[in-house]
Parts: sequence; C-alpha cells; structure tokens
Amino acid sequence: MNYNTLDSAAIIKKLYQKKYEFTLENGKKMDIPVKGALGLISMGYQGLIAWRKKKQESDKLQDKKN
Amino acid sequence: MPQLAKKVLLIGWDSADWKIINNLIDKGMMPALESMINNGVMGNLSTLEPPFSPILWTSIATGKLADKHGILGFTEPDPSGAGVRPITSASRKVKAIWNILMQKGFKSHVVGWWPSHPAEPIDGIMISNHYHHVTASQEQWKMASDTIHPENLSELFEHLRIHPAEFTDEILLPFVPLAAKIDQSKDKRLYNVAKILAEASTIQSASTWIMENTDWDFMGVYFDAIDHFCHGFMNYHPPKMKNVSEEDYELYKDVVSSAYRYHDMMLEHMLKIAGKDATVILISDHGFHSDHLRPYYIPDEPAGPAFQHRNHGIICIKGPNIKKDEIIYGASLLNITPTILTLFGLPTGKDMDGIPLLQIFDKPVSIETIDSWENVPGDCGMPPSDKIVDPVEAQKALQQLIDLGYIEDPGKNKIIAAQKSEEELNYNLVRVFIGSNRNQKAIPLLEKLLSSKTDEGRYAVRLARGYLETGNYTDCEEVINNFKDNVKNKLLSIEEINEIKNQVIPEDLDEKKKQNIIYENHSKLRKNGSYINYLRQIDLIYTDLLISKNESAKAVTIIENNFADQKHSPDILIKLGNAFINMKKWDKALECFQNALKIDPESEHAFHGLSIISLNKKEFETAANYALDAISLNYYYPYAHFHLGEALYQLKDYANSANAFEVCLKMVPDFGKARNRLIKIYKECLEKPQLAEKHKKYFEKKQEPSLLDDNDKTELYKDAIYSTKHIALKDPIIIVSGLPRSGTSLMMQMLEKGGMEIFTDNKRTLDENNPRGYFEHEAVKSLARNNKWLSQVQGRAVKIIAQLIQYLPARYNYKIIFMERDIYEIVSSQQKMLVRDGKFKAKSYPGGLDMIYSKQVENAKSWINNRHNMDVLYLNYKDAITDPLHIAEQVNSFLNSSMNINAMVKAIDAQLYREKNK
Repeated sequence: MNYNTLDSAAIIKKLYQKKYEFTLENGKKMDIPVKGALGLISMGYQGLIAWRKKKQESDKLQDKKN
Repeated sequence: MPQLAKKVLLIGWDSADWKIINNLIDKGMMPALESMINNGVMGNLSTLEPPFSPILWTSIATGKLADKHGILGFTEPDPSGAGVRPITSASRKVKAIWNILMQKGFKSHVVGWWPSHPAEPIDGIMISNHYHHVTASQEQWKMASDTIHPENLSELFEHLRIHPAEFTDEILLPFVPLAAKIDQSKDKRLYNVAKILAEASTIQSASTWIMENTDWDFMGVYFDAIDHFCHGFMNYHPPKMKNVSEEDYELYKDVVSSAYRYHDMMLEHMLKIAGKDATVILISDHGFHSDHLRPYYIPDEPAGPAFQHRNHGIICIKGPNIKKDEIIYGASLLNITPTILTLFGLPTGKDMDGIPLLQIFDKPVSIETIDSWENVPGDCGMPPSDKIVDPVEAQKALQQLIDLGYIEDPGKNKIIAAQKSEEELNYNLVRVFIGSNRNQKAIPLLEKLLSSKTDEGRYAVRLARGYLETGNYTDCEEVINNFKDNVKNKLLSIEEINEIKNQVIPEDLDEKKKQNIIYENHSKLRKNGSYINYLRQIDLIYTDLLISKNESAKAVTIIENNFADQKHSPDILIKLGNAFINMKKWDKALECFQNALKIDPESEHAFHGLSIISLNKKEFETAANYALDAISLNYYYPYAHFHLGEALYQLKDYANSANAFEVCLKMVPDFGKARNRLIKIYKECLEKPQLAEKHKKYFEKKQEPSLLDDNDKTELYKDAIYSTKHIALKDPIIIVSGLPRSGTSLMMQMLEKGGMEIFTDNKRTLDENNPRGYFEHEAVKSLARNNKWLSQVQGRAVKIIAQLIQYLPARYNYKIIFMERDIYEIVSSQQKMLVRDGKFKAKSYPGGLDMIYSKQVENAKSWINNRHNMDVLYLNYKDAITDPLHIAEQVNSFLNSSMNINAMVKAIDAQLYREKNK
C-alpha cells in the first residue's frame, strides 16, 4: 500500500457511508445511544464515527421537528 | 536467526502499575489484561534514572541510555532563539526500532510516541506526540504542522480526533458519578477528566484505523492518559489521604480506577484487531504510588511530580513462541528494543545497553549481534536534524507540560529560559550517569552545576552522594558543610513565615499586583520548604558517611534524634538497619528491615539487608533467597548480586556463585572484593585458571569504570537466568493440591493434626460443606500475579488448587500431595455445596464440567512432572476415608517427617464422605 497517495477526504466520506453494527457479548445488537457511551468510544474510530453519525441523524430529526 | 513473530503490537501505558491492576483484576474489572496475563508472561519492568517519560520512552524505543540517545528532558533550548520548546524527535541521535525495521523491509506505524514530533518520514504512518493534546476550544483546535506522516493523511487523522466538548454526562459519569454536584466555573477538575479521556480516545481512534486499514509488521502506540489521570487524581484514590477533604474524595475517588478500566476496554479492541497471531507487548515506563506510600510532599523543583512515580513499571507479553502463565524477572526498559529485534529475527546492536528478554520464549532462542545499527547505511526515516518547529505550536505543547507540573513556566525572558532548560538537561545527564553506576562521569558535571548555584539542594545532595560512593569522604563532608553554611542564613524564621502567611493585601490594589504578591509569597514559602527538605536529606547523607567511616553509633543517634518523625519511613528504617548491620546488632537490623517490608513489601533494599543478616547468621539458603528477592525487584542491583554470590559460595554452588559475581562486576567493575572472590572461585573451586588470570589482569590494567561491557551482552543473559533458577532449600514448601472438593481440606486437617504447621488466614471459616474448616489463605488466590508470600510458607503446608499449581515459581522446592477423586463425585459435591450456599439452583449447573476438570487435572500433572524441583504424592480421597492409617503413613514417609500418625488418623471423619453414602 502506498500511503502517500491515499486521499483523506475520500476515506472520511466512506467512513460516513458505512453502516455500523456492533454486537454485545450476549450476541445482541448494540444500540448506539445519541449521548454516546464509554464502550463505544473505546472501540476506536468505528465507535466514534458511528456515534457521530447517530448525533447527526438525531440533529437532523430535531431540525425537522423545529 | 528465525523470525519468532509475524507482527508485533507494542502498547505503552505511561505510569501503569501492577498494584492497581492486580486489585482491579481480582475484582474482574480488567478482563482483557487478565486474558493477556493468562496467555503470556508478566513481570515488573525496572525503570531508569531519571524517571522522566520522554527520556524513558526513547530508551524503550532505542535500547539505549539517554547519554547515547540524546533525549534528556521535557524541553530543550529552541535553536531559533525562541526560548525553549518541548523536546523534539529531531534531538534523538540514534535510530529507534521503527528506523531499524524500515531498513530491514518491515512496515511500521507509530502513534503518539513521546517524543516523536515532528513526525518521522518512515515507510509507514507516524502520528506525533502533539497529535492528541487538546490545546484550544473545539472551534479553534487546529492540528500542528508535521504532526502526521505522510502529510496527505492529515485531514483524515484530524477528523478522527475527539474534543472533550463532544462528551456527554453518559461518558463522564463512570469517572465522576457525582459530577452534577460540581460547580465547573470554580472546579476545573471535571474538565480535566474529559480532556485526558478525549486525548486517550483520540490515540485509540487513530490507532484502530491504522490497524484495520493498513498492512503492518510493527505497530507502536503510546497512551499518556494513565500518567495524567494519576498526577491529577491519585490523591483522591482510596484509601483517603489525610490531606484530602471528604468532599473532594467523594467526588473524585473513582477517577483512577475508571481510567484503568477504560484502558482495559481499549486494550480488548486492540487485541481483537491485532488477531491471535500477533505478538502483543504491553509496558509502562514506571509505576505510580497508589497506596500508603503516596507522597504528601512534592519537591519544589522541575519535574517534581515525578516524585510520585514508582520504580517498577509493568510488562506483559503474549503471542506465538511466548511462554504462557509465567512471571519473568529482571526486565528493564532497555530490554524492549533488543527483544523486538529478536522477535523479528534481527541481531541486537552491541552498542545497545539492553539485551533481549530470552526468558519469555517457550524454547531456547539463540541471538546474534552486530556492532551497531547506526552504521547500517540507507534511508531509515529519521527526521532531518534541522527541522524547524513552529514556535507558536511549540508554545501550545509547552503549556501542556506546565499544566501537568512537569516543567516550570519558563517566563518571558527567553535567554534565561534557554539557560534554565540547558541546566536541566545537564542535570538529567548527571542522573543518567548516577543511575548507571557511573559516578565518576557525574561528579565533574555536578561540581560545575553546584559551583554556579551553591544553594541548590538537589545538586549538593547528589554530589555528596557521588563522593561518598566513590570513597571520597573528605570532599563529601566538605559539600555537606558548605551546603549547610550556604543555606543556614537563607532559612526563614518562624516570625518571617508568619508574616508572609498573615500579610494583608490592600483591597484597592489592582488584580495583577495582588496576584503577584500572592505568587511571590507562595514562592518564598516553597523555597524555604525546599531548603528544609534538602537540609534533612544532606543530614541523612552525613549519617551514611558516618556509617561508611565506621561511626555507626553516632549515625544511629542522629537518625533517632533528628528523624523521629519519620521513624515509619522505609528509607529511614533501611538506613537504621544498615547502621545496625555495621554495628553487628543483627536483631535490631532485622527488626528495621522487617518493619520496612511491612510498610513497603517491594523494598529491594530491605530484602538486601535481610540477605546480609542471614549471611552473617550462616543461614545461607535464606540469604540467597533474600538476595534473589532483591534482584527480582531490581535486577540492576550489584550489591544484591554480590551477596547472592557470597551465599551461593558458602553453599558450595560455585558455578552459580561465579555467575553472580560476574554480573555484579559487569555493573560495578571496580568492586575489588567481588573480583577477588571470583578469582578464588575460578582458581580453587572451578579449576578455571585462565578465567582467574583474566580477572587478575583487570587489577593490573585498572580499567576506567564503565557500564556493561558491550562484548559481554549476550553472556549477561546467560547470567541472568540464575536469578530465576532453582536453588536447593532445606525446607520445601508442602502443597496440598487437587480439584476443589477432592479432599484437599481433609488432607490439610490430617497434616495439622499430625503436627505440621499450616499456612492459613482462617478467613474462610468452617461451615456445613467443610465442618472441619477450609484451611485456606486469601493470598493463594492471587498466586498468578503475586508469589512473594510463598517465602513465608517454607516448611509449612498450604492448600493450592490444581488450576493454580502452574503459577508456582521455580526457585523453591515443593512437596505436593495431590488429592484425586472420582470426577463425577467432585462435580456432584461442588454442585451440592453451591446449592447449600444458595449460589445455584439444584440441578442447574453447567454440563461438561467433568471433561474440563479432567483436562485441568491432566495439565497440572503434566506440568508437575516436568519440574525438577517438585516431588509429588498422588493420593485417593476414597483411600483416605477407608484406610486412613495407610494414607497417614504414606504422607509421613513422603514428607520425611515424624508426624503424629494416630492424630492424623483420628482427623478423618468418615461422615464427611457423605456423598458416597447418600
């Protein structure tokens, strides 16, 4: 992989296009809370982007209501 | 050399300490690290002098001491004339592990390493140590240039940063459950929690992206958050310190534990991403006092907060070709890079100060060396030394260090700031020399420093100590007297102190002037406190001088009169102990060292003192063991190696004795007594006259004292083995083992009745399940992580279940009575016991336990059979019930004992075999 040719903007765009699903220890799907959770950010970039996406969706919903 | 690792993940947790980790693991709160421990090796990692993070992490990454690698502090004079700047990667004079790996075609990524700014142009991704620090509000938080290599990834990684303003109460409440009570306009500590947490999460975010989306052979990730949480919040950690208010304690008591738990959560994900075939190394550069040894006083000097650090960091390694479930001894920060080179099948540089940790591998590994990696030509991705760091960005990073208390505010005068910074670098170099037994190199530098600041206590104390340790008593005394004279007239009187404390600041004065007065008064009091502190330290050196001059009685009087308020300090107790040793008052010395160990069970000096006492009492096995205890806590302890050598010599174990003296002499080449003893052993005991001659020649040449002889590095490891090697003991440890409910309590009861001394704390009292008691000890549960208590068990019997037997260290002799019982009876008995205790519903226990237990017993037996220091007697529970006389005789014969057979037989209560009869 040639790191010098990677395009940051394209990578960020893809990160937000991806669907994030996390599974809990008991096998159940994890709900991503709008307020976030330590467990989510401890996962690293995937948890962070999933949380930011959730916040964006929630903000959009709020804007529509207003 | 074969490659032993497919890929290596090196994780740094600055300041992480086993004392807190062990406690959390016992409570099931750090499962990821617990799993790493169970599947790998763990141990203490000795730190270096001075214990300042940029110096230490560079030693970790280079395998070299600071005088070689060139990173000597937190700051350095800015070559552009802008005063001072945080230390940069450009100041590193030698190759780091990632530079070496790049030259051999391995792909490395590095995140957050301290110091790594500006990011180095390696063949991989490097994210510098300026990346994650929150230096502004979310809107104004821009990333400094040269933070990311390659630069085209800057936008991505800037996006992956987390600002504390993003956090909600959901995220912060586990750290501060009563956060709602805090008035944040006055109390900034909650914001600090959020800031440190955001910084750690930023490192995790960037690292996980790299690990999941790129190829890598080596990944180095450094987290500074545990250190920052500890400096900010350790004083609120339980148990409550006297000087902390009830309110603060209640608010912030969970911060440190939560920080560790959060790191464990991050570790869990990293382990998952790295995969099972990765070799993972988790380390810290030093520990952090978390208990009664937490200091109440932080010295008023640059990097004063480092006073809270403990000498032992952590190391835990797991992966292919690595031993499992073992404790390793004698590891130091300097071993990390040589070990990683060995994992990649590469030779160690002879100019490195560390050697590979070969004791971690599950099979013998041979190593190769080259003169130096520095001579290997070609691009290695080192930063250009003339790289200019933006002074504005440097200033922001500097503020972080000021806020943490690691450096003083350099003020506005750039020339003075640069001079101060240079002085600190020189002083740190002095500490590097002292820490590596090179007093002769430290002394001229200290003389120069002290001559320019005659009232600087830390210079006077170290110079006096340097003279003392090189036998220059006259100059030592002169430094002591001069310092006292210089400082005497500068001490504030009680009246002056009261005047400062009670000064009324006029209300009509403008705010800036008010603040200046408060600051000046505070500085005067701190300076005065510093003088008092160093006068006490210099007095203590004077007592050491007296001891060295065989005036120990005078030393004891001074200590007892002038330091009565510190009589419970381990340092004072050890000093007294040494004085009593000198006076041949063995019992008093013994009491001092034992008391020191009660306060600090990890005091290598106390163990060393006990070793000397045992030697003089001609208890040589005990002496050897105490010396080994000291060495296992601090491998670079030449005098402990010397006394180990003496004890082994007396035990006629000449080969190991010679090894001990050799190691001692590699650390202190001028130690004539050790060399003389070695000459005698080689000549008279081992019949190796050529080696005796080699050592004799040393005296003739009078070589300059130096650190380890570079050419002998590989031999040093061979020497190091003996520190974990079994040493014959007269009194073995008696262990009763088997699965729970296999009759272990019954056997303990037989032994007790027969007259054997039992190691139990009686915390688990008798009940319906075990009407005669359990004979257990709480310490046994933590055997995997702490085996120090085993030294108290010699000649006594202790109950250790089969699952824990593999954690027994190799340095004792054991006699194991292994109880066997039908697996189905055991499972059934355990089930009934749990039902009786209300922990399980009847018939609800999980299936397959019988198979698991059978496997565990098989593993334990196989492990025992492969150990040379274990004798084992397998007994059947049923036989003990039906034919107790025969069993009692068997046990008595196995233990070579003369126990009361009749009493042992009577101990059997046939009714206990209830499961059989029902």
